[in-house]
Amino acid sequence: MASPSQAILLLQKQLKDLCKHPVDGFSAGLLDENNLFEWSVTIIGPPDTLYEGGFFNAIMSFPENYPNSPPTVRFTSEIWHPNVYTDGKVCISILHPPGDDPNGYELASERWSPVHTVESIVLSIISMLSSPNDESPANVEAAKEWREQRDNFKKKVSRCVRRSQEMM
Amino acid sequence: MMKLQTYAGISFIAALAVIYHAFNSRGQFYPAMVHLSTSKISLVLLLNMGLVLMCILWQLTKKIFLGSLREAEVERLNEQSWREVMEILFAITIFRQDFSVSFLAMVTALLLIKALHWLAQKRVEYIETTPSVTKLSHIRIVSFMGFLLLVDSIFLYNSIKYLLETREASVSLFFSFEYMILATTTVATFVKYTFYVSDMLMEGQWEKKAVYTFYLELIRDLLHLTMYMCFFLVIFVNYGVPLHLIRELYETFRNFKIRVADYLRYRKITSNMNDRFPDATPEEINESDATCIICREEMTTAKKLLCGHFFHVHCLRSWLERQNTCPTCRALVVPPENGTSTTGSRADVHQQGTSTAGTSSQGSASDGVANENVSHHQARLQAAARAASIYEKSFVYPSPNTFAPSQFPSVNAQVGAGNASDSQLDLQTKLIEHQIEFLQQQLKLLQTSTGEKTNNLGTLDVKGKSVSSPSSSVIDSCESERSVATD
Repeated sequence: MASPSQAILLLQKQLKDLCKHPVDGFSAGLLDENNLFEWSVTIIGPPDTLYEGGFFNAIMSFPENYPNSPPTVRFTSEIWHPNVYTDGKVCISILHPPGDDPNGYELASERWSPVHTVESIVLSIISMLSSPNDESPANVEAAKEWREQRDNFKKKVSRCVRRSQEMM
Repeated sequence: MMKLQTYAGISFIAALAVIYHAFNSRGQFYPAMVHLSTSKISLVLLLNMGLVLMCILWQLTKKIFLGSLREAEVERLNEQSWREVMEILFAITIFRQDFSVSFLAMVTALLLIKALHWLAQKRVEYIETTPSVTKLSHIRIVSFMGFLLLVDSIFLYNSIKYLLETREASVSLFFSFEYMILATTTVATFVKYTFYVSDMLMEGQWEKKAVYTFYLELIRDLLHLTMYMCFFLVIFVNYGVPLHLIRELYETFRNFKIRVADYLRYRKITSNMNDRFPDATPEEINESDATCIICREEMTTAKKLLCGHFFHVHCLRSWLERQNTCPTCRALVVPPENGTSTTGSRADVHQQGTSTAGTSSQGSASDGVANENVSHHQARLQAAARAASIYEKSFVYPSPNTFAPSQFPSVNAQVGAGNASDSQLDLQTKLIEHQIEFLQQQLKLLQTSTGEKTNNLGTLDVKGKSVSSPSSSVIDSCESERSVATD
């Protein structure tokens, strides 16, 4: 039941911080200057991974009651990854609402906590890019390829990387 | 938009052509009308024309009150409309004996009006989360909600009047019910919007807003639930199982249940928040960096959790509504009755202790008790290091399980679990410092011993053996100690 004003203040603060002290590996800003709840993030494929050299755009949508509920993150660039749904939605445990997972895949301790910021979320996504978790995949096909046909997986990823470079 | 225009144009021309043909071939008004209403082709074309007119009206209201739609709104519209079309088709099967052209028109109108309601809701949500909203959009949304309420009440009035006149169950039942739901939704959205506006007028200082919003939603859900139940029963008695209602009934019920559960938990935790959590002293706040990690604002007063983390009281409250763990370390804010978590964390301390003891004590750690005091540990560590420096060849390499990376998270988790008292934390830090010291000494020794290795390759084998056996005994002793410790 946090009021939107708290979320607005917090997001404004983060925006200012990120403008003043940019963090390596990604850039973040607002999608529309009047709306603090929709962020546009460009993630640079982390070096020494299959995604190296790619520029992946994503939209981060914060709920009204941030930081008590997690934002959703959706890649707008095409990306092939076991933990990203085919529509681009990112599936990592810290972005899941608090409480125990009904499916029993994740503990409450791995889920959302109000201390997460844009920066910590994007850093988690970057680490997700470098080490996919194929145990509870969002994109089953990608997970299967990642496990069994690594070559095909690599090919698809490098195609995404190339496309993302062309889009820049 | 372009598509609608061409479609509308074609439909219009087709309708005109049919009418022209009818008048041309029949000559007089009455036969022309008979022809138009009996010929299947002309009927279809005229109905199509009606649909187009409705769509145009819909687009017009949308343009007047909302302007262009945002992406999220279009998404919601598409998503919801398919579901809704399916459900209305189910509803049509229930009321098949009433099927007629006017029924079809009413259903289409209902669908379009519903779509407007979704858009209104979405737009209010958007306005609530946008910092700068122009006056025009406020006026627009208010008049839009007024318009919707008016439309709802007109339709509701008509259906109820019809019901009262005929006094028998018919399709009007369905419409009156649907418009009733829509009207209550509009009222709820409007009240929510007024909450937002008054909060804005108070410059975001209205603390009770969240509580009121919560009650509003609770009441709305309760109202919807009762309405759905009544309607479900009425339809069940008169017609059969209303398939189209099952999803909505279930969803409303689930929402309501979750809300009530939330409410109870919230009451339980926040009822005595002031007494339950101690205030942090100013010194304590200054020692930490005085920022509340939830809102990243400075703290002048704060509440302290069992685990020693500080938060603003209102930030903490809004988080505790969702989960009763510390936002920073996720320790439970209320110790469980049976005390499992405390024993768990204590067991952690023991493990920590044993693994350190294992490294230091060259396999002689069989004295079993792990949680000795710090000085004891310190003495042993130093003794071990000294012994190692004297008898260069016989020191124990860290056994694989003691310095595996997995140990360090356990340190974090333990610190995080937070149920340890400060003295235990101190002990922990000291132990880690000693481990570092010890490792550095080992490194030095290793460097000297590699020098030796190049001189004398023959001793390498012997050394390897002497290393492996004590370390395995260390593992064993760790295991046994662990079992002692968990008791």
